[in-house]
Amino acid sequence: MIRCTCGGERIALRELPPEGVVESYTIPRVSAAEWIRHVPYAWAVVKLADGTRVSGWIGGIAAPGDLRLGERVRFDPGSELGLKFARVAAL
Amino acid sequence: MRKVFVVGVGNTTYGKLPFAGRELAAEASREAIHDAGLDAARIEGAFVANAFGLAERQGLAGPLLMSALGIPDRPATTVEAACASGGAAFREAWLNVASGAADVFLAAGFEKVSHLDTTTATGYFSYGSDGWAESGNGATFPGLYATMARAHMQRYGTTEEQLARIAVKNHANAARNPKAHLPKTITVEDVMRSPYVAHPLKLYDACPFSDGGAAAVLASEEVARSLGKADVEVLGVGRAGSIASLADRGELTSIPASKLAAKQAFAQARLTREDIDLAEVHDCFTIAEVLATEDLGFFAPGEGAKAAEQGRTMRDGELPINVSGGLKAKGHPVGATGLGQIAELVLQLRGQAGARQVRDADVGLAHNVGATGGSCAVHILGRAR
Repeated sequence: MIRCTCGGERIALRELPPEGVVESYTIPRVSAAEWIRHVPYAWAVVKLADGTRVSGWIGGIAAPGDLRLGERVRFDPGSELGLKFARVAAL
Repeated sequence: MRKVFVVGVGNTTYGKLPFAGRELAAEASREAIHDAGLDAARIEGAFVANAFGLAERQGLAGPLLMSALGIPDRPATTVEAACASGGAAFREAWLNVASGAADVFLAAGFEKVSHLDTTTATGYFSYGSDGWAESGNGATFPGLYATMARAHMQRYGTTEEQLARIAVKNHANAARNPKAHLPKTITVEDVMRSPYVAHPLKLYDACPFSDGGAAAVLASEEVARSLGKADVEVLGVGRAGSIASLADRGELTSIPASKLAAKQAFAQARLTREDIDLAEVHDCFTIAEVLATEDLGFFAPGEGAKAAEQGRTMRDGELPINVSGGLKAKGHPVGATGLGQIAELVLQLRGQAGARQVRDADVGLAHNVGATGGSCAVHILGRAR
């Protein structure tokens, strides 16, 4: 997946740091069909350690008390679906 | 650019309707043509707004509408800019007349989604986001605005109760609108007790899935005067975009496209915020009305929810916002929404808005957002003197 939003034409692959902090998130309760089996989860905007922002999801988040703004999360390479993160505190 | 007038508007009732989308587009268009006092043969072409036509297994919206109106030889193009499709169609029709390429153009919009179950409709609406980043990671449409709401709460202290007051206001307005999808009054307690659809947004923070159609006929000054319909002029037009993905955009507490489109429209109209007597803004969720009133410059960043709580945006307040009931309670038939806003402004400026008429309405603003701000249209209409 190559993403570019600046119009630049010199694009290179770069490894991103696996950890970041949650800038904001939601806990979708009414989901599209392919996501119903993953409820409860959070969809989040994550700011990685190098400042890059990505969006991803975090399983097992049922209520706002389960995830803090600013909380550290780490890329979870085990998921086949989207960009999954896990709470560092839970690892 | 030439002066352009809105000579006719049409708006179906919004709600769960037993009609196909093509019928809703045709009904609204016929109403707009009759309102203009025009022979349909005078229409030189159309832009037709629709977002989820394939949910009806039906494309070709433009040509189907031209056939239904008895003018199958006129060119019609379907316009899609997610929830800003209606505003986008209006802008393209305006450009045809303003440039002198045509004298009479139609902008129509429709949506038909009530035949879908909630899960399927939720899926379709989520496709109006950046699929790689958002729906592909489980984001729903309410979820994206909920993420902006949480950031707004964190940054400015906006509360769920303040958002609830916007829902209460817009339902109260819709109760005066015979075409509204949800014309019932509700209380703050009703909102606060409703279940979360995407925390921190609840069911009553969200607009419904509506069916509906809306249309506007735009004409040159010469044609408008010949029809005796030179009473509402398009004073300012703004069209802009922002990075589609919220994470790539990095900005969660305002929508850049709204600010830019507003700047363009105000500059063209040579007007300021103080000149606006009423505004129809894109309140797909209560937080979206907060973002809109701040981004349009009506209130300072972080002050939008407080202004609503203080009643400043009520029908009898200093700046009535969404007197139609807004997307929240008039309803949100996606492709029709932006044109429904135009129809409301035209009725208000003519003094034909009945029980929800705003007094001394001379200048109105319509603000229509696609997705979370990937696209935006702002139009300023004025009562010709």
